[in-house]
Amino acid sequence: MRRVLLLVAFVLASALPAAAQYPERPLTIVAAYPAGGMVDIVARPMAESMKKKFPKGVAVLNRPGGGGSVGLAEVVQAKPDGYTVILAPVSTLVIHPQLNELPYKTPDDYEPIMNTIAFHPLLAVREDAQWKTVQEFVNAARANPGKLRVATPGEGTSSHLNLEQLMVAGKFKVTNVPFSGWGESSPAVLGGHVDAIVAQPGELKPLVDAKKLRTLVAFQEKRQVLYSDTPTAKELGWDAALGTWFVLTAPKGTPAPVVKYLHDAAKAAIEEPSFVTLMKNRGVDIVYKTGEQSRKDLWKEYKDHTEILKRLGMIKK
Amino acid sequence: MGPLEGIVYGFSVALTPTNVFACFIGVVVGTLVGVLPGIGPVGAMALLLPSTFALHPATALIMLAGIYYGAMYGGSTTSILVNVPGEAGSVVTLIDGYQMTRKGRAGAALAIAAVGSFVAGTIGVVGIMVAAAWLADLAVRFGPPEYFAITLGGLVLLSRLTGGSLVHAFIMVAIGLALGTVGMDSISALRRFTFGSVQLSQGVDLVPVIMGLYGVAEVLLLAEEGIRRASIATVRLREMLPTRLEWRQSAAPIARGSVVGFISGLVPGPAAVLSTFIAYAVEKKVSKTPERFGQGAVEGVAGPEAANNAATAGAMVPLLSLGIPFSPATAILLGALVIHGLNPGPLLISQRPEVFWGFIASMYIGNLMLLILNLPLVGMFVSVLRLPQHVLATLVLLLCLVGAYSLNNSFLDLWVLTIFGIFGYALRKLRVDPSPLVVALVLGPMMEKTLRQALFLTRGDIVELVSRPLTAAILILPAAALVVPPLVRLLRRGRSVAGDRAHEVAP
Repeated sequence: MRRVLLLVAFVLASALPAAAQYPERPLTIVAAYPAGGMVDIVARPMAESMKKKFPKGVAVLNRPGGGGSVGLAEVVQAKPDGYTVILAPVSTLVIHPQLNELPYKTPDDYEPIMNTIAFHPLLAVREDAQWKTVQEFVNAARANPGKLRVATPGEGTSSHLNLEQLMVAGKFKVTNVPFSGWGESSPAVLGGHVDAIVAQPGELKPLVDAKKLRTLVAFQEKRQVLYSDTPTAKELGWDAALGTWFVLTAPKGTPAPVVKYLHDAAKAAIEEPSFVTLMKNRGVDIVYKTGEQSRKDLWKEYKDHTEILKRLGMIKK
Repeated sequence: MGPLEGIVYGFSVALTPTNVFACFIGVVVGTLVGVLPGIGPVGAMALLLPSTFALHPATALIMLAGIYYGAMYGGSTTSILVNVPGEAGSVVTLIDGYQMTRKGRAGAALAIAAVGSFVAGTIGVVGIMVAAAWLADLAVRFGPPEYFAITLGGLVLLSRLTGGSLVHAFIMVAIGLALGTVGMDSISALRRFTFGSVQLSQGVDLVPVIMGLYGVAEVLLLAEEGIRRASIATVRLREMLPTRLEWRQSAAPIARGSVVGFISGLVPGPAAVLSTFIAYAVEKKVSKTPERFGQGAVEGVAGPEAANNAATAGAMVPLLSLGIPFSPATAILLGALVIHGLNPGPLLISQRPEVFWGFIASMYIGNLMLLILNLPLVGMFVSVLRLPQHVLATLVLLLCLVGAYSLNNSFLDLWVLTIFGIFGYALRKLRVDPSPLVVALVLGPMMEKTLRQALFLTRGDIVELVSRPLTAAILILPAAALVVPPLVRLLRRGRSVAGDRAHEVAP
C-alpha cells in the first residue's frame, strides 16, 4: 500500500507542469558594472536577502562594458523566464540607447520590475580652496569664463549633465574635464590639477570628513541627510537636480506573476533594516517605485535627456 | 597611534585564530588562482566576495587581499615551468624563467621567485606602514599631464624589452595601440571600431590577449612539435635549490624590483603588469652581461617577480590612506569595505584602527605564510613537468578558456583568446616577440586618456602641457633614451674613424 501511494505521489509530482513552481532555478542578477562599484554594492546585499525567496540561490554576475549597455543588451535578449534580471542605472537604460545603436531603444523595450535606490551628486572643492560658497565659485567662473576646471566621472554621466544644467541656470562657464570614474577624478582634485569635482555623496563623504574636500552645492530636490549644511541648487534658484537611480529590470515578455514575485522579493530586500542603514551611510536614498511608475519616470527622463544631449551635441543625427 | 604602536595593535587583531585562518584561506586561494593560467585574482575576489558578508570587515579585507597578493606568488609558477603566464603580471617572468627550466634550473627559478616575492611583499608592507599618508599625498601630485608623460616614456623605453628587430617592435606596438582604441571610449562614451557590435563595445581586454599570445600559442606549438620537443630532464632534490651564485645575482634585482614595483603601485592602472616590464628593463640596463637576458638570466626572474608583489602593496596606499581605488582589484577591496558599512578614507586609520592596522599586520603574516607554503611546493610543482605533454597542454588550454570567460563573463573574451592564440602561434613561427604589443595595449589607452584629459586641463595648449616642471622632467628621460645612444654611437664612430686615420698617419 505504502509503495503504491509513493508511486502515485511520484507520478503526480512528475506530471505537474514545469512552470507551476517559480522559482525552481537560481536567479541571476546581472550587475552591468565591475565588482566593487556602486551597482555592485547595491546588488550584492539585495541578492543576499532575496535568497529567502529564492531557495535555489541568487547570484550576482558582473557583466561590465559600454557603460552598462553590454550587460543590459544581453538581458533584454535573454529568455524572459524570470531567471535573468539586471540592476541597471538610469544612464544605461535611457542615455546609452540614445548615443548608440543597441538592441533596446526606449523604456518600452524592457520590463522595469521596480526602482530601488537613488542618489544625487554634489559639487565639491578642496578644503583650502578660495571659494567658501557656491555663489563665490559661480562668481569666479562668471568673471573668467572657461577658466575654472571641474572634474566629472565621464561625459554623459549624471554628474556631467548636472554640471551642464548648472552652467545654463547660473549663466556661467567652466571647463569640464571628464575622467573615467571616481578613481581617476578624485586624485585630480586632491592634487589641485582641477578646481572642483562633481561626484557621488558616498564617494565624497570620507574626504569631506577628513577636511580634504568641501561640498558647495547638492544637485538634489531636498537637502541630503549626510550633507545637511550643503544647499541644493534648487534653493539657490538653479534648476539642476538630476539623480542616478537603479531599476531592477527584466526582459520584455516576462510573465506578470513572475514579475510580481521578483518585485515582492526585491521590495522586501530594500526594506531590510541593514540595507537601509548601509544606503543611508552612503548618502543613498531608498526610492521604491512600482514597475509601472518606473517606466513612466524613465520615459520622462528619456525625453529630458534627449534635450540635454542634443544641446551638448552628443546625439547622432 | 604611531606606526610602531599601530602595528603591535594590528598584530593583536591579525593574530586572532579567525583572522589567521582567513589570511590562510586568502593566500591559499591566491596561490591557486595564481598558478592556474587565465584565472586571475580579480575574478576570484569577486567570486568570494559574498562569502565574506557574514565576517568582520577586517577579516573580510584580510582574506580578499590575501587572494590579491597571493596570486602574485603563484603567477610565476607556470611562467617558469611551462612558458605560460599564470597571471598577467607574470608575462615577463617567462622570458628567462622558462629558459632556466630548459637548463634544469626550474627549482632554482621557483625558489628565487618565492623568496623575491616575500622580500618585496615585506618591504612593501613596511612602506605602507611608515609612509602611506605621505606617499598618497605624493601620488596625487601627479596629474593627467604627468601620467601622460609617464606612459609615453614607458612606451618608448619598454617596447624593445627583449631587443630584436626594431621594425617588428614598431609593428607590434602599432597593433597594440590600435587594439587599445577598440570599444567604448571611457571618457566620452562613444564607440569606436565596434562595427555595430554591442559585445565589442566592452573593448579588447588585456588578459585574454596575454593568455592567447602566450598560453594558447604555447599549446599550439606543443601540439605541433608533439613528442619531438626535448623533454626536460627531471631535477634531483639537491638541484632544486639555487646555487650561491644565483642567490648573489638575485639579491640586488630583488631589492630594485621591490622599489620599482612599490612605486608603480602608486600609478593608476594595471600596476602589477607594468611594474614587471619596468623591473625587467631596469635589470637589463644595469646588468654587466645584458646578453644573458633571454637565455635564462636569474635576474630576469628575480626583479619582475619582486616587482609585481611590491606593486600590490603600493596599490594599497591610495586605498588605505585616501579611500581611492587605483586598480580593479583594489576597487573590489573598497567595495567589500563599503558593503560592510565602512567608508574608507583618510580617517579610516583613526576611526577603525582595528581594520587599518589589523590588515597591515595581516600582510606580514600572509607573506610569511606564502613563503612557507610556496618553498616546499617547489618540488611538487616541478614534478608537473613529468606530466605527459599532451595532458599538460590540454589542461593549460582548458584553464585559459575558463579564466578568460570568468573575467567579464563574456564570450567575446573567448574569441579574443582564440584569435590571439593563433596570432601568437604565427608570431612564434615568424620569430617575432609579442611583448611590445602587450606593453602598447597596457599603456596605449592610458596614454590616450591622459593626453585628452591633460589637454582639457590646459584648454588645448600643448606647450603648457609639456612645460609643467614634473612633466618636462619625466619627458626628458625617454627623449634622452631615444637620442643619446645613436649620438654616442655617432661620436664613437667619428672618434674611431679619427683614430684609424691617426693610426694610418703615425707609422
